[in-house]
Amino acid sequence: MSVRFEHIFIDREVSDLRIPNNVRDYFPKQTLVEVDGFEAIKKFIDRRDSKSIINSGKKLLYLNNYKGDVIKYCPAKSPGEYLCCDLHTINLMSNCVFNCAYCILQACLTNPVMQVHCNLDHIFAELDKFDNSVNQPIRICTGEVADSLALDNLLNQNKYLVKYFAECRHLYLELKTKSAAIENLLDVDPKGRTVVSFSLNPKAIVSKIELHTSALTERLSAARRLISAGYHVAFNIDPVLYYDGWKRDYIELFDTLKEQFKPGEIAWMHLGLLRYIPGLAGIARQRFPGIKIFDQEFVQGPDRKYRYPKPIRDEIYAFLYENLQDWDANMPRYSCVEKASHWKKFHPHIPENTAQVNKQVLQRLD
Amino acid sequence: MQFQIQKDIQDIKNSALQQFFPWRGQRHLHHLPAVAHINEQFFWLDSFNEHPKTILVLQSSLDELIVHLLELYAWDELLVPQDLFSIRKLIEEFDLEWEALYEYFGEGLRRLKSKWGFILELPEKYQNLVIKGAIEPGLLNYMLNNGFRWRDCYAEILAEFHLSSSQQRDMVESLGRYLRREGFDSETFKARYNDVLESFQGDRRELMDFLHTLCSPKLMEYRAKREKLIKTLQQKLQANQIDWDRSLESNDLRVNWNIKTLEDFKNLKKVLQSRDLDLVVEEILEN
Repeated sequence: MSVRFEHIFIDREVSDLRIPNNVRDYFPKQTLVEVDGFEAIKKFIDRRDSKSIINSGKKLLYLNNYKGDVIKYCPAKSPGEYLCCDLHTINLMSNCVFNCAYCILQACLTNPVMQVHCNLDHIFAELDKFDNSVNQPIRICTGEVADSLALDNLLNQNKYLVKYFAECRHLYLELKTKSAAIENLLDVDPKGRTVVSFSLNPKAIVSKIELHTSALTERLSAARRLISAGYHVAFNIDPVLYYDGWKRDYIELFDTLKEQFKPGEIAWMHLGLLRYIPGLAGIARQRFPGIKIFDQEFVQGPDRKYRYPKPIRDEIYAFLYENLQDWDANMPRYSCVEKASHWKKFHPHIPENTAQVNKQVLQRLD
Repeated sequence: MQFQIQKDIQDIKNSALQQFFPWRGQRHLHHLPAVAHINEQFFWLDSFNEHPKTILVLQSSLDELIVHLLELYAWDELLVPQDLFSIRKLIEEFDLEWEALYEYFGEGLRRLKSKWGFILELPEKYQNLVIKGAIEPGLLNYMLNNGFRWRDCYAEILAEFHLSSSQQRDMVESLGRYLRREGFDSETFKARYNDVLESFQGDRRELMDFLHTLCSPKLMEYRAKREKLIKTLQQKLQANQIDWDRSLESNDLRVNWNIKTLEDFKNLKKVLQSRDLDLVVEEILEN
């Protein structure tokens, strides 16, 4: 996908930093407007309705400093009995240039401009402190409110991260992506501390509702090249969708994975079934007319998120884990925000806490 | 300016109230001031209370008397969306512009029109449902914001079953999901299920059970199984009531006993020691 923005704004605070310079080099003919803060940009957001807000925000790139707590807990965490995977995040970007119909960002970004935070030195200083304060392995992901690699061709940002994490004591970098933009990573040695986790879905889903993302074949080919370059690669099949013919499509996906990756090559597999917050379905129906993924059976959990009813979730998980077992019986695996009863049914043992889930996920990295 | 109205003003007020605000019920009249509209200007006809709630507007022509009611308090924060129908009628009959009314009565109307004006553009069938109070304007707003199309079958169900606000939303959500998933239009739905709907004879509970089963067949199937188990458990436990989560997200059970005597308590202890109870509880808690 070739990335274009209608307007590019650079906060004066970051004007001389390296990422804005990379952007200038990438768009030599485009005017980059220097601004003092976000206020100057707001008027460029088309606020007629939620659809316009989201679409216009994706066409505005704003380079600035990140202000606030650098290291956060994964926002997908749900309170109560749902067990999560203990992922931590740093927000180097906010928003995404891709258009996935199920994307939660549609419902939760109030100022949906594509923001890129350029003060890496400050972020690294905070990560140093964090690394020194923990005594167990921690996964730090950049792809929770953005795609980690979608803009890497123009930002050339991730190689600095890979180099930084290569020297960390306890921290591992997870780059979560639906992009195949890996060129800038290939000449950096991650020293075993970066995992590129590709989000996968059957090709029918990728082409119909993961618009502007890299094709499934491109993602898998990128995964192969990264493994050859010394990176760990993981897969996220998330969100798994339930529809007429879902089994056929997911079998095909697993067959492709089995053909291309040997047991032991993949660091972990993460499975997550479609879940969504109130409000998302309405926005998605307006942005993607005719979309049916929100018209299956759903129940609202105590965390207010909608999920497929438990009998359906069990049916899907049983099927997916069986296929995973056939491919790589020892592959570390986890399911995003499910209850202990789920772990009891589908995993060898129930983790006592989220740290144990994380330890299990990282088995192949030690 | 002088003019005459050849009718008892109280009669006019009474009939106007009944005509214009069926969704608000009968109102008291004594604070209802009357206003005449003559030569595109308004004139107060009787004493104007400092905080009037309603005004009566008369187009004063001796051969044609047209009355309208405006809820004056509603020009501010208490305006309800249904009032837009009355206001539109006034505008049409007096040949006014919305802009003129905004100027005359303040920003409340502008805000109302901006937020709820879409109800004036609905198909007539839906407008009538709003006027009759068979559908909450909030539901229409919800539909608009959630990608639900106006469908004839919704309108017919709303007209035939007197649904509460939450049931209205539940109906649109359940039926909408089913129709989209199956790719049905209203005609197909009606052809297939009209007899079933008629057989309910207005029973809301039967209707909602039916729609839930259409929308969520697997959930309903498992819920029915769970319900059977819960009934068995309730009998075995001799419990008054067992609360459980019908979404099946949680397996938690809350059992309620009524113990009045020591004998009741001893009996309960015996019941709890029964082994076949464990099997039923296990089946519920482990699934």
